[in-house]
Amino acid sequence: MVRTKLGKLTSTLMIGGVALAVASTALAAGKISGKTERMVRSDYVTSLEGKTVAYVPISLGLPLSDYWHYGIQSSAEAAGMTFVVKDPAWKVDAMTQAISALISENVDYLVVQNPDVQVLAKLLKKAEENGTHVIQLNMASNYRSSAFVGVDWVSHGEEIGEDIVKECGTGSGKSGKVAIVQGELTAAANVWFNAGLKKALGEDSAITIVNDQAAQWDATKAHDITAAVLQQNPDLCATAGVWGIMMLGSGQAVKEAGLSDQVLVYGSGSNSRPICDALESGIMDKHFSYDSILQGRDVVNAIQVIAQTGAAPGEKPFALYSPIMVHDAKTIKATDCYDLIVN
Amino acid sequence: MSEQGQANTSDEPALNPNFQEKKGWYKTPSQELIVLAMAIACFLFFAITLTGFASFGNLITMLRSVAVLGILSTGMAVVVIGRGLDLSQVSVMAISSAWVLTLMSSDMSLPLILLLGLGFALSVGILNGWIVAFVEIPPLFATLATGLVCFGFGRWVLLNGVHAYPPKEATDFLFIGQGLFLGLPMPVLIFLGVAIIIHVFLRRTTIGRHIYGLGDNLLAARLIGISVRPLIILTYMISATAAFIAGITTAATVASMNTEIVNSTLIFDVLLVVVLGGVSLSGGRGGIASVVVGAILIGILLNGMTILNINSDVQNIAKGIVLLAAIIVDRRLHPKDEETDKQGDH
Repeated sequence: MVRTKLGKLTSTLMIGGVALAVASTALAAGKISGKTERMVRSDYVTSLEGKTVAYVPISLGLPLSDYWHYGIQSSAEAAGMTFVVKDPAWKVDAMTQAISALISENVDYLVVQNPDVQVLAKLLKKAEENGTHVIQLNMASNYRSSAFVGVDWVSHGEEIGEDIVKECGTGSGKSGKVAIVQGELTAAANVWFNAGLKKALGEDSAITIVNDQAAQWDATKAHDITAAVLQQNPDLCATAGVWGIMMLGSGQAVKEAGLSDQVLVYGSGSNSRPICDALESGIMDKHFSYDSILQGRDVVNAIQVIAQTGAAPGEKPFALYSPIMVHDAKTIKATDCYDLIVN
Repeated sequence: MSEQGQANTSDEPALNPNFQEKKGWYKTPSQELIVLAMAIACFLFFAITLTGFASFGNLITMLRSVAVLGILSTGMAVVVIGRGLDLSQVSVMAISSAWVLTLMSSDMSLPLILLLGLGFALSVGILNGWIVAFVEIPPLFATLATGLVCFGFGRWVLLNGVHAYPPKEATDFLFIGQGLFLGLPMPVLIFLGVAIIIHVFLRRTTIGRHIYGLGDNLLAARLIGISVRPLIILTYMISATAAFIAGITTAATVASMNTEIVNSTLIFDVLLVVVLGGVSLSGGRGGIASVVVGAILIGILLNGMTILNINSDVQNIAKGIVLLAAIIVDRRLHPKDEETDKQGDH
């Protein structure tokens, strides 16, 4: 009894002490931060006030670019910037026109997803010479601009390659046959992803790449290629491609051939609802996802850093690589995916 | 089959400038037979050089991969036989089927949704036909424009995005694209069904014969009392219906619809198949059997090249060369004159 009373007393005293300490620290912090906080805040606000962020994806209306749209717009507006979006609807000429117009408007920050490594490179250089910071989103060009935000494609490809080697390579007892479905042959993401993927696959002599073709980001083409490959190689162990939405076509072909249990279908991309549906229904086996809404926020974070450090466009290029999450049919949960967003 | 390549409207040489051509040495064998021979040659070549090419499973895969192309081509063939052209077909295919997928998330019943999709496709077809027949705009420009309007309208009014997906529960719908019936994949059966219906329509019905007349000589057709304008509208409606069926088949095969196919080379592939089989762009000639043969040749080429692991850019070169060759042969077999000339040809 005495003991418990004593215990109670001690704990009451302790709680009181802690509360006192917290209160005094808070008070002290308030005093110190008053000035610093105001400085930090005013620097932040003045560096971002009245600035415009322009976003030019390859096309809106895809889960990936709609999530970016949402991520960039919400974060940019929360930081007090103006947000502009142009939708070239998958047309390169419309894209160059939109970017040229934005350059002549002297927009402060230009966020671009490159359709390939070459086509926009000169234009982006011109933009930076003209005083516009260019942030390249997920798909880079040959020109190195102020910032790159997105996936580290080579290591991303390697990661998937290593997983395939584990599943299909030496000691797995499987055929070791792998079919690669490429996106667009000249797109940066596709080039680097496949370089990484093939490097990892090349490290195991038991792995053979039986087919390696481009489906031009189209699920129907991926379907037809995979259907033909499966006829030729019914003992295929895995098929992998750079974009999950495209690989849904390959997954359907595997399902039609009745080989869902044997052939592993790999994809990568944003964690959108159709991907989760496909994982749950066994159309796809593994998806290496990145969170595109957070990538949008990363873009705005990069902009905030550039704005506050005051570097000139292209002066100190840096990259923010996105973390990768592996989702598979067994562990997938409905909450792992975003619903489609209509902005 | 060979007589399908010949003019069909008029037995009187005076009314039919192409009548004399039958006597030319190059008239036999017909283009359809040449294409069939080429298809058989390619098939034998791949069958000998590629292991597993000639297997039953691969043949089915091959047919399946050209089923959608074949469905579109049969629709296009009707328009081309009537001396028209429908460049809006892929746009109608993409938007009508993507709209169907989008509506499937609502609580409407599937038949109603399919009817709405078909209704949309038909309305674009009627618009096409009306512009060509009554406003008298050349089909090349008219359908190019309506295709853009259809895509733009669909993209901004009917759809939420570039891609459309069916809800996860829609397994009945997926049967259209993924199911097997009598051991054959549904898309192949749909292609055969559409081909047979349109073949019978063109060959065995009065209206079908009138379409040949219309394509061979519009003025003569009008003179003998065919109401050519409604007939033109009908051909575009058939093309739009084929586009809708092709769209639904594609959507059900890959459980999604990528409306970006509008920017792909699909419409040229369709024209390739149509022209390849001997349906002359100057109208009035060819038939559905030709289209099936053309589709099979393309299927053999694409399948063989995929198995050989030739990348798709090189495959496009091969397709381009075949199209060019087919158009040159078409021009040799059916020389142009004042009567068969169209606006937009020069």
